[in-house]
Amino acid sequence: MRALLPAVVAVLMVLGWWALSLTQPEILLPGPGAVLSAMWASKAQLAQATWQTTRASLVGLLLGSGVGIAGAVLFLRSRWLERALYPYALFLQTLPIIAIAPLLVVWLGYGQPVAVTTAAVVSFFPILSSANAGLRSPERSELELMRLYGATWAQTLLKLRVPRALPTLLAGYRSAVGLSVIGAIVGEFVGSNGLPPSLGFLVLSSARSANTALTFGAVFCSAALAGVLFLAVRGVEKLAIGRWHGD
Amino acid sequence: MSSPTPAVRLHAVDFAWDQGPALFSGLDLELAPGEILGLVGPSGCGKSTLLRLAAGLLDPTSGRIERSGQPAFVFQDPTLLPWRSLWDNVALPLELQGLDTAPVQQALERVGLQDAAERLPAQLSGGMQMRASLARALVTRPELIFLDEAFSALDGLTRAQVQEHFMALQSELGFAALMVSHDLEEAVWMCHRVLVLRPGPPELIDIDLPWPRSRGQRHDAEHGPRYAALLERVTRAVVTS
Repeated sequence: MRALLPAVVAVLMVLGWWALSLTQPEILLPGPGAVLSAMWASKAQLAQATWQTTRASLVGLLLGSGVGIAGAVLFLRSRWLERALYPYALFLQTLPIIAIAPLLVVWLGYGQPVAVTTAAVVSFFPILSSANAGLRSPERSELELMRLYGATWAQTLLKLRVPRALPTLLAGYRSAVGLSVIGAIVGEFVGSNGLPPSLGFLVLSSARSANTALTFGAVFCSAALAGVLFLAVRGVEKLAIGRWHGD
Repeated sequence: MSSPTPAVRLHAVDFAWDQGPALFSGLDLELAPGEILGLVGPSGCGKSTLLRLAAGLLDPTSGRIERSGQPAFVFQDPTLLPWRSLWDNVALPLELQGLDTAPVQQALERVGLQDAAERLPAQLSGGMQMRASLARALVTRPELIFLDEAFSALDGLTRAQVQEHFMALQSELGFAALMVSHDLEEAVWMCHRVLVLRPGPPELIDIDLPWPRSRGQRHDAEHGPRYAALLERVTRAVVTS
């Protein structure tokens, strides 16, 4: 029943969408059938665009999380460094990514590096903050145990803090994967010249040419991409911590 | 019980938290090899702090603390790392010191957990987890073990079993132990001496009951009255503090 409920809601939503589309011109609200036709007609373009956006999201996520995790380890090593730099990491998080993207075009030129950078910038903070919290999550007794047996800083990090951080860090990744897709698409809105096409570019160009059905198709591909990445993180969670972590 | 080479010696130890009032002032204490010394007292009297000072997990404000050899520690919570199997948890102290992990099997056998070696902590009962914690403490063959209310989280029956097991291991291996307890019956039954911490000078009480002890002795005609009198004395020392 728990698995069935979302499916029932999905069917009801599609039915509602279909009913509503009958009352509107197709250029404003194409129905499910029109969207599927447009997607089928542009399947090669959509597949290529989805691949481009997937690549930008994943490379951006990799960069953002690499810097985020390295930052969290540095913060663990030095409270002073954390006090000096954490406010700026927080500031970066509050900057609207759409406002930074044009600057990135100026610095990096048109192309995928802009989308990769925006994906990296938006995924950086959830990883930094979750890694930071996770690495500090061991109990006092666990830290005392390591100290009592003469564990080095690196041993404490690798044998205690990193495994302890995994549940929190992976929860951070669950947020970060969705954000990295959003970041990549925002970067593509501003910095993509369509060579090769990406989902952000396709959403923008199809909307401009009044091909609303294809716009819907590109939006669905974006949502599906974020969903697949989210499920991939859940899979990693199950494999990495499922045996010992309840949630 | 004094010895030329005590397991732990505290000499003129002062301790205060930050700029707060002194918790200990000029404290002297010796724990002989093979002795079990209980630390009891009202809440907030510094039992766990004294244990951590003796274990080297806290530094005294002034004074000297000497320990013989590598100590082990058993916490109130079993403190087993949930992602490591029982075997890996017991092997941790050896791993951290770059030692051979061969003694793990023997340590597990000593606490009767050799058949559960591959299980994760979450798959063990509370009593088994505490025995695993004891196995981890024993795996380095320490001469000294610190216990911080190690049996208090267990239910009555399991607690009695683990206490018996601990006393049997102590009789066999001869390690010294410094244990914090808020259970006065436990302290009197398990310890050679009990230190009552309280405002002012602490009171050290000898528990002159035969060793090794068994549960039945608490109530038998030969030892019961002496046990009751010692419990009464320790209780009075704590209550009037």
